[in-house]
Amino acid sequence: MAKVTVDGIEVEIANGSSVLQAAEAAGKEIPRFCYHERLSVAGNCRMCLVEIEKVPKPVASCGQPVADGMVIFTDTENVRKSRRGVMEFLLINHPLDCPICDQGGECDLQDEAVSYGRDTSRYEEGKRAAAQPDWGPLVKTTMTRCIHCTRCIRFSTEIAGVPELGATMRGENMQVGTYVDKALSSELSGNLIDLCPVGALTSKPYAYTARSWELRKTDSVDVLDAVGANIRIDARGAEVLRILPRLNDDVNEEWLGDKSRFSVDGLKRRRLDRPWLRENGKLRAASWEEVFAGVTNKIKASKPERLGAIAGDLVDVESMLALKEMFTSLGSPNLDCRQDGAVFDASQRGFYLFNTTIAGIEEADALVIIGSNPRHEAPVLNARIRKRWLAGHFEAGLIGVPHDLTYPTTHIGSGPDAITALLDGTHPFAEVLKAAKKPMLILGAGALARPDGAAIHAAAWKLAAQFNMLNDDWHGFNVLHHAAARTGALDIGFLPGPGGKPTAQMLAGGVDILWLLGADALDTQAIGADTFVIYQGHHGDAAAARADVILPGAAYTEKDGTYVNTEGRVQQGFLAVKPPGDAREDWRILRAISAYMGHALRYDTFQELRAHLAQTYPAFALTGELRRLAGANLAAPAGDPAAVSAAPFEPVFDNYYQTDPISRASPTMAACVEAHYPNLAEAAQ
Amino acid sequence: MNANIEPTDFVFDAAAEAAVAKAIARYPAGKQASAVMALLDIAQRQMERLTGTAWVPRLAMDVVAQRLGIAPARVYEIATFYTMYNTKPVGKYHLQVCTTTPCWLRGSDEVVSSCKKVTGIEGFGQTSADGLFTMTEVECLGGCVNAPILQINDDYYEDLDAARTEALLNELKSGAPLPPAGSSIGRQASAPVTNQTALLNNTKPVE
Amino acid sequence: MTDIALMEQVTTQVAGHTICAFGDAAAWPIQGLMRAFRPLVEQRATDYKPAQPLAQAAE
Ligand code: SF4
Ligand code: FES
Ligand code: FES
Repeated sequence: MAKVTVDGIEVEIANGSSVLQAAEAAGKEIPRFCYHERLSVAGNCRMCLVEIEKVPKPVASCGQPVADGMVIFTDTENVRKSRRGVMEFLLINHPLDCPICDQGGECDLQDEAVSYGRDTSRYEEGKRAAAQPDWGPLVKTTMTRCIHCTRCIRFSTEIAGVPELGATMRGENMQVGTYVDKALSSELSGNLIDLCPVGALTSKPYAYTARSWELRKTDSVDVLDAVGANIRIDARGAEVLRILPRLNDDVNEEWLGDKSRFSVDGLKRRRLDRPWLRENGKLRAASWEEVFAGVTNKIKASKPERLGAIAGDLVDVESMLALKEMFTSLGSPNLDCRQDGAVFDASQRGFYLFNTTIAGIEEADALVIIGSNPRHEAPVLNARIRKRWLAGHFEAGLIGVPHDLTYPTTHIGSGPDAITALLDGTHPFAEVLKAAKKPMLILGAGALARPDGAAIHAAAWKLAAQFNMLNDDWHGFNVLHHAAARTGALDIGFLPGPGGKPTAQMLAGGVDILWLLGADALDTQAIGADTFVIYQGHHGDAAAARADVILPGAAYTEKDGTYVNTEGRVQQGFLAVKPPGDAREDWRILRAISAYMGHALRYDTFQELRAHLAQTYPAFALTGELRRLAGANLAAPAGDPAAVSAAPFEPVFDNYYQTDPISRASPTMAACVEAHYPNLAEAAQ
Repeated sequence: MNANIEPTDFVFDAAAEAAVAKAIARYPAGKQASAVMALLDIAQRQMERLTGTAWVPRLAMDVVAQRLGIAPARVYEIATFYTMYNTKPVGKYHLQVCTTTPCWLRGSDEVVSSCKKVTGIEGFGQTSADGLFTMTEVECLGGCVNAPILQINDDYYEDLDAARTEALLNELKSGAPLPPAGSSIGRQASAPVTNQTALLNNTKPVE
Repeated sequence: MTDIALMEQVTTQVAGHTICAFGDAAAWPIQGLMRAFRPLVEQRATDYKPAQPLAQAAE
């Protein structure tokens, strides 16, 4: 610990901290452009100058380590004068085009110029011109505005793990870019937009759409993967215009995957904004009255055990609970949330959670990934693994399709038999695991969606037990889901009741009436021809095309809802805009229909429903926080570890960008597929 | 010489490989990235040997990056930062005129206009029609005592004026090899032009 | 004349504010020149007749 004095305030701060951090600890704000807590220190903007006693020149505080007894001044006349000087130099080549710049209103340069800028420019010569490189469909570049802080370069090199950006040329000709023209190949490229302190990097899809002060900001949770990244939804009127990450050190730090950020335009397209009924083989628009009557008659005419419901991947817990309770009151046990057909023992929470927790990854020292591509299934979580790898003394092994995960991995094998090879020690990576103090494994949820899923689940657990992953203060067994609704659904037991049928049987004619709550990822071809399909959801995707009745619901930005991320963290999202047209929040639809059928659910308001949820399932009483489970002395899940087949794992998604109804409806995501997976885009046409 | 197009392929040849191995061996294991400057130079010289023009194509930068296990972007940064690496093809003779203050005061403008006159080049960064010369403007070459300086490929030609520059270039144009480098007025190293003035043994040593 | 004042003022923004010695090294010659030869520079500037196009000043 070092004791330093900042403007007369004494603070104690860890050795090796920078002067800037000390000043922050003392509550002093230091202007900065290049410094960023999560990136390495570059010290090239010089905006953070301070004075230190006995040092003749002003010092860049971000790069200066503290020393015991240092006396720091952050706000003297000399400091202010120096910063004004730096500001003037930074603006010499800046185009000062704020009126046409999307960053306007949320620009660090603009903000600092208010405190340190001159009122007029003294520079009369010509300004530097710069090429506007094309970085792909997401990031728009206006390089004349670049102040060469190199944050974007450091981000892509350090956090994203795709070192494609660099500063070429020198002096006045210096250019930040890729040198060779190409689209950034990162799933995290949108974060460059947040990082760039000026308007050099802005969002391409959002270009010239709105000013930051016109937007209504709503806190919410992302549902396009199961990480549960904290987001802020920016809307104007009835339109969601953009989505930004919100800080949460335990989950997404301050990053967000490109799909989660840029799929917003999918929220406006292919929407189901009114009820539909199929008549004589054709869907026709209908009123709520009509569809309620139609659905009620159908259900009344059917036997309870011939009713079935499947919950999709983007649904909030409250809606699923309402659907579950409605079916229970109708007497049907046929419920399932695993539309991919995965069958494994979910009787304990620890069997299907990411028990290590995302922040816990940073404590691990060895990792085995089984049947998953975290870079596609959870890019933000993958960045955490990379962060851990960068810190050193960390080894990762991969079972499944080999990918570039942005950190090196040992490819152990392609199929689940590689787990067996680790168990009996025939693969050298077993030694790595044995030597590790806190080893962990990540089992992709996609790896469980195959006939030997339960066996793979059991084998992975056995691996965890054998290699010291389960003990009093460490739980190294992790399931990585890719569906945001899955963990919550498992938590409330949206699973076949006694005698109930799982997804596969329901599809194969096991039921007469099938209620799909936003379930789009199942094989609609497999649904029996005479099954009556009720689709409740927000996008006209595959399942809606097969439906006999469509109940237009709300997307995640249009309703309050609770989601449980893959770690088991309960988080709440809030309504940012109203659902379009006649569409309604899903729990409201279910409540209304249940009343119509004479089985009215017991809650009239959302608050009552939420209270009921917390009462029935105590895990939901705690939101945001997470209690880490201990791994010791747990019984193994059902399933025979030896029954695994040798069939290699398949990738869950064929691309990162289009995986769900929202991103499939998004033109931006389609452009990304075209840029990054030209073969796929061609095949789709 | 179709050096104006990016080659489709770049591999170090045997001679270059030997130099590469030597350059990498100079640095401790794990720090081989430090050899990047040497490798770029080796690549540039190989291009000169094989195509007659000394430059580093992007492909060669990629090869260097791969060899050293660093990101290509890092190599691009270095190759574009230093003016010694040509990222575009240059003529057989790369005329690097120093125009920094000392050279400018001593007449670098004359050197520039002579270069233009003989080669037909109109401005910096251009290559003559016959592909023989490329003229670039460089900052101080560190030879200010003998200003003005014109660096041709690796060598310095010093104490130039308009006439001597023209003569030099005309010689090259006619196909003669590069004359010996150094002062064009016969000055010995950086000694005064007006003959030796010190160490003449005509002063008493300072007691 | 205003250019001279501007130049002098800008050098004070550079000198003593950089970690890099080149900052000082670039600023001092101008300060020195102005300190020692300001009248001469001013004289030359006022006497100057734009007969030929302006030669580039020192970097
Ligand atoms: S583009 Fe933005 S983030 Fe990148 S160096 Fe320039 S100002 Fe910094
Ligand atoms: S923030 Fe310290 S130099 Fe940029
Ligand atoms: S100024 Fe030309 S060599 Fe120094």
